[in-house]
Amino acid sequence: MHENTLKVLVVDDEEGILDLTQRILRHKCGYDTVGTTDGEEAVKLFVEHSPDICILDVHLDDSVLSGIDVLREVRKIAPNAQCIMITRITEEHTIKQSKELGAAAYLLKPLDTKEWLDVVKELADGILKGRP
Amino acid sequence: MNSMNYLTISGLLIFGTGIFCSLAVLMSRPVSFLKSTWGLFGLAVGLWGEGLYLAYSANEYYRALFWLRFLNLFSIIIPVFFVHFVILFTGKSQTKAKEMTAYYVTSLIIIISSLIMPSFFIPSLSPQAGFYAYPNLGPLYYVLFLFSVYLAVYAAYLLIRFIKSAPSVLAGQGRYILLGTAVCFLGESTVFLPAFNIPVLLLSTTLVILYLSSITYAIVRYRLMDIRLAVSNTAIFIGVYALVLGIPFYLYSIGYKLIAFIQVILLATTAPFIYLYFQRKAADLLLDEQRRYQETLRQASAGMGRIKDLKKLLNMVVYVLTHVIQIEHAIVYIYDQSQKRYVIGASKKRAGKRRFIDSIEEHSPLVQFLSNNKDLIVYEEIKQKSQDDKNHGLEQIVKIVSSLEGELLVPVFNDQILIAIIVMGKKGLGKIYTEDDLGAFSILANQIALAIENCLFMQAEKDRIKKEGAQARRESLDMLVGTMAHEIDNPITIVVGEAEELQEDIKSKQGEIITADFIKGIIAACNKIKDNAWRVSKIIKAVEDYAKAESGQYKAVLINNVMIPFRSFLLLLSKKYPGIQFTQDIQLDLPPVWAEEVTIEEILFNYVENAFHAAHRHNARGEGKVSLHIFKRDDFIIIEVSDNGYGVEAKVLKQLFQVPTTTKGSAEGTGIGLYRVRQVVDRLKGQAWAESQGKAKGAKFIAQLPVYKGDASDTTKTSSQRIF
Repeated sequence: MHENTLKVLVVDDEEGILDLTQRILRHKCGYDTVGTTDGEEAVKLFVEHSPDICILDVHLDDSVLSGIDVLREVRKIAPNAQCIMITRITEEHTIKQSKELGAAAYLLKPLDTKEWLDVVKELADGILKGRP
Repeated sequence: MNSMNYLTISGLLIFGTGIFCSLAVLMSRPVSFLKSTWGLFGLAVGLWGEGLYLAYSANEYYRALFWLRFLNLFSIIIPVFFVHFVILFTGKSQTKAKEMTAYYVTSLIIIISSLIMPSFFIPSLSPQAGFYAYPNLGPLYYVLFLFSVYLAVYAAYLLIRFIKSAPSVLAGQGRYILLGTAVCFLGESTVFLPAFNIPVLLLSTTLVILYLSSITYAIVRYRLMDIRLAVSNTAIFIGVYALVLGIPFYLYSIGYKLIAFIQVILLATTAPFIYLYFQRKAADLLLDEQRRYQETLRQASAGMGRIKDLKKLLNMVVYVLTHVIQIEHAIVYIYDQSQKRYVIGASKKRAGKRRFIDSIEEHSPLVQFLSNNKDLIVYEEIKQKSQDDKNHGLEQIVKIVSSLEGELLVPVFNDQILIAIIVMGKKGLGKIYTEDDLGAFSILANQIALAIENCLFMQAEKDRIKKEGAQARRESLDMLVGTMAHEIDNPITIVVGEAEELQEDIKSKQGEIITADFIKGIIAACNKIKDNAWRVSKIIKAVEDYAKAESGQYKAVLINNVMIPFRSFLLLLSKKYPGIQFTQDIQLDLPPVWAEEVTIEEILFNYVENAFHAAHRHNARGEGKVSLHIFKRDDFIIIEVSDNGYGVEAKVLKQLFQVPTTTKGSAEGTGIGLYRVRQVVDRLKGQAWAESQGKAKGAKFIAQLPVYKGDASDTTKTSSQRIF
């Protein structure tokens, strides 16, 4: 893998989406990906892989930590971590919380692949520019 | 001598009857001009009778002459009062006002003339036609006589004309008054006849009493409605007492004094019983049919309380009125809150089609009038009153009642508020409304008011339950839709994403050799698309099934069939309340129940959703447990849903199914669910209850439904496709 290759952490409770998202990121953008359906596992993976970007589903069924909890933990570990929240929850409280915790974007489902991919690419550009 | 005695007695009786009738009419309510005139007529007749009595009981010539001249004054005014009464009765008071004034003025002139120059009327007395002292006639007496005859004939003419054109009810009354008039004046005229030296039997003066009493009785007791009965009652009374007094009187006059005395005692004792017997017989004869329908009315009013549907109740009211009582038409106008007016609740006409006035305004003078007076309206009565009083307000009411074609209007009140107006047409076969009818209708109105209140309450309750049921269903649906949206988003995202990926992959492989791996990838992607598309379709189907409203069409339903779509709810519930361990034990060969699939789903859904909620709230993740057990016991299918949730206190346990009660937080539920279950189970002739050891000790909800024992081939086949 190229040194400058970006690494993305994908967290979604739906296996199908998790798999698809990672495939798209790998094939279309050439990024490295790690993924999980569980919040606690996500925090572990973040510590382990130090990904550049995290794509987090807010609602995680059967998971002790929600997407928001993962965001909080990740930002504690790496205050500059770039996180995209993806959800269908439009509650003001959740949106506000995400913003306060420093999420880079808050995207509402249903999403077109191009839409979320553009956001990821935008973040990636910023990250790459900032690198020596 | 005997005839002299007779004149004295009849004079006295006429005096008594006249004064009594006059007072009775003048004191009865409601007051009317017609009644006042009749009262004055009675008074005049009474005073005329007094003159007769005093004249023929006088033992001096001049005293007799004085009293004969005195009674003569009343002979002048009696026909005038009578004509006035007839004019009022026939409703001609407005057109004949000037004429009436002329009669009063003429009579006044004659009275004054007879006071100033009495000898021009009755100059002296002499024996005539068997009477030892009867008036000799002066020249002006002929004027008086002609005037009286003219008025009597004129009154008769007015009555005859009226009878020909008036509605049957009034025509009947008119006939009686005409008959009475003939009898009365015949009686009175017999007093004149000896003056012309024509010998007559003076018995006919008694007829004056009969006439006066019967019309008075009709006015006071029957609002001048059923004169037949009044006449018969008076005739019986007079007949019986004539017998009581007459036989001993005769025996006395022929010398059987002791026998006469014994007879008086015997007959005086038995007379009231004889009178009552005949009176009852006459009433039975005349009122037979009337009593029959009053009985029907009473029975109908008793049955009304049991009717829960307003439309049915009102239809029954108009049916009873038109078919049993044979009123030509009946309409019930009922207050409509939304339209702010009284609209036709039910109407019926015995023959032919007729359009009635659609509604009565809330602020209509008629409504105001009924609300203020709180009494029924007899059309002829208020018409008469409006003419008497020249009351514009009353005239308006008369117009409205006339436009409604009502002979009788019965207001129906509830808590002093006019909730309905019953409009009744004419009674069939020209029969007339009696005071007893009015009494019966008043009672009926009270019963109708109670029954209407009952119906409205039941209706409101039904609407409320329906609304609450719909609300409960709506809440469940909202929950389902919320969960469903989330459930659908994911497979859709997969479908779209996989399709895009596939498209990209195929594009990138153009011109290249397709490998086996590539084909395997495409097949895998297609399978994913297909699986997720099905997943969406099935979720939608499950919600669609649940959203189906109850149709009320029952059939033999196999619970195992209902369980197939129910699984989709379970999936949604497990998403909403994650971490609940759900187990189910459903007997495989369950017989059917007589129900509707949606009703069974509703029981299952409410019980299971409650259990999930309780178990989820009360337990840490992974410890919440819900179990569903369906089995047959005796002739029942038992649905048991248990949880290890927050439990139910014993005192709440009893109320759970009775009224909307919730053990959830107020923001989470309306508590209608279990109430709905009870309603549904009641309809299926089953039972629903809950068991709990107390707070925090979990609960068990049970529904017991009777097994359907009919033809099992009625069972519906649900789709064999497995949803999840």
